[in-house]
Amino acid sequence: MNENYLVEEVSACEESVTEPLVSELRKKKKSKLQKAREGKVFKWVNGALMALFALFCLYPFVNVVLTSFASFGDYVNSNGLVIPYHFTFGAYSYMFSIGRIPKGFLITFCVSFIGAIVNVVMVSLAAYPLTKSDLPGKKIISFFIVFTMFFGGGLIPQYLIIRGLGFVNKNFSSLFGLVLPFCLNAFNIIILRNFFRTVPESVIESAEIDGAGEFRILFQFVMPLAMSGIVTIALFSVVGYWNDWFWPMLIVRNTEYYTLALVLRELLAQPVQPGVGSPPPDSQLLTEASEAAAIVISILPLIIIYPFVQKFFEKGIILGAVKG
Amino acid sequence: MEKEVLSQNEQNVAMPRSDGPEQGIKKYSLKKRMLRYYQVYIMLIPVVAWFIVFCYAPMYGIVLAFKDYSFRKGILGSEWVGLAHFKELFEQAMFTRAFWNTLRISVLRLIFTFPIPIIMAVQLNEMVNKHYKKSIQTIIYLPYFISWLVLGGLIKQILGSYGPINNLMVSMGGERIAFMTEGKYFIWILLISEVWKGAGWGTIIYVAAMSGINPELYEAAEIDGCKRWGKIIRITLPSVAPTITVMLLLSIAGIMNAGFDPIFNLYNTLIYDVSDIIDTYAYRIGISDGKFDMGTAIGLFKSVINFVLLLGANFVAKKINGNSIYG
Repeated sequence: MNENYLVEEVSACEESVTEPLVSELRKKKKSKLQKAREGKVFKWVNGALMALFALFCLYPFVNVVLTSFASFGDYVNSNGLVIPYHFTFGAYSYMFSIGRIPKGFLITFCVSFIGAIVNVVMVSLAAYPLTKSDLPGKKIISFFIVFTMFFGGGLIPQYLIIRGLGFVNKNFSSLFGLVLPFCLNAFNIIILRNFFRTVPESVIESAEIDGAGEFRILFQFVMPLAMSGIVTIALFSVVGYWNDWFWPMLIVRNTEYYTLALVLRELLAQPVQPGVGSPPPDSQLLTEASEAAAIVISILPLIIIYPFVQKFFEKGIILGAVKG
Repeated sequence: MEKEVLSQNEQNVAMPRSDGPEQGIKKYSLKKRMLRYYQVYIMLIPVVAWFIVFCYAPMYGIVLAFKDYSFRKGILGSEWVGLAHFKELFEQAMFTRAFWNTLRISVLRLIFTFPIPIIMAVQLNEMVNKHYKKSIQTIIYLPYFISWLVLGGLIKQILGSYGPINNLMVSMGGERIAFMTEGKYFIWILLISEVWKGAGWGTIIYVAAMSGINPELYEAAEIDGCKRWGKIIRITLPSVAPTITVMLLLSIAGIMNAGFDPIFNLYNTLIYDVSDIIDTYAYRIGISDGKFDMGTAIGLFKSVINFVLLLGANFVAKKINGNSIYG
């Protein structure tokens, strides 16, 4: 790679010299060598700096995974990084034994899954009409949707509406309150519209000629042909629902239906005290490790789907940003 | 990959979809076109209904800021009180504190965290080894997908009084520090964790813009004797200047958003004086204390400033780039 780059550099330089004198050529050659050395130093420093930042990004993950297998002594005696000298699965077996984590996991999984489906359907229904260039009233509808990106009612009115619709309660139905109020947003609609626009017009026309209605065209032709867009929206919403802790905190009033994030929040909540305090007693043996285990359990699914997510998110962000 | 996406987009811009045989339809009357698209309008019914219920109804709910909310009478039936809530608000020391904390945190964030993704994008752009670049990108995007709730937990473990960082400091001859409960550390913990979470992800937009730079420009600069720094300063940065401008204007427009999620997950009662912002204050007043009218007033105060700043930013962007922020 580096060699290629240098060759290019050299040829670019040589092109610039129309009739070089021999001495000048020599000088040039020397400077090229120097340049190559400079380039190498830059390359290494640059690479090393980015590697450092990458390590900084990985550090909390590595630390939490190690902590989850560590004994409390390992945590208290750690030095920059928790090393589980007394390797134990204790935290995990404890987390699974109390049952709330697996249940929360299941609930969050279902909410994310159903939420992704509802999102994809609703966003498609909103995005498809916006691809019709000659749809009467398209401008008004666009403005109606995009305006919500700029101005909102704020937290309290939104909460009061959701509560007014009866979603804030102690029943199972509160879980629908986690999905429905958040299944559409202007940003996703714009992204999916941009994906839908890449579907060839001829496909839609031939489907129309065959007598397909608009719903059939959308679900049978446009959506499958814009699959990467659909996947992008689905992943956006899965990650969003999986990570949400704020609205569940307000909406789900019954610990029976707590999502994983809410269970985690309860586990992480500790009374605060000023100062560094005295070293915790051994009876807190599993506190740190079990918190770490709960964190690992809650981020594991995201880490597993991350390779797909990263690819599609990157594309989606660029598509959404470039043509807003 | 970014190039592909960009060029796809350019095609979209350059060639508006040809209407083909449909072209004739444009000649038809409005009524005929509307009839032709009746199914499309049916599709829009749930969409419009959703936006009315979950976006526009809350906007109407803003009237609550001017009313004395009573649960029995509901939003519509409650008594009007004019600007009483705002008057009360501006007299509260807690609100003033939250306001200045919001500004302070936002400005510090702008100064310290805004340039980092740009610098890193330049660095990524200079990387020659594709595999190395891809691996780095994969790693630095990862923190973006972690929620602030989890991140708060991670930070509390790392910075705990007897956690790895404090132990390291003691072994190097330092003192233990109560990071989470001493106000002076809060802003740095906040900013560093925001860099951790968002800086890598923030490079995407700049890297995409840089990948669209014509390589001939670099060749021409080389012929003119530009070294690496020259190329970065004279070509890379000016080429992405419009993107930087838009991102900067958006950040300035969002100055009232000091970030509810990070602060809510990192602060505690002991450090409210430096960490309580408008959003967290509105939450505590509105939701925790149940003063819905007051909470709405705080929210409205913030959204109005935000909206005005956004319009201003849009205006400036139009002047500078000849293009509004949102295309």
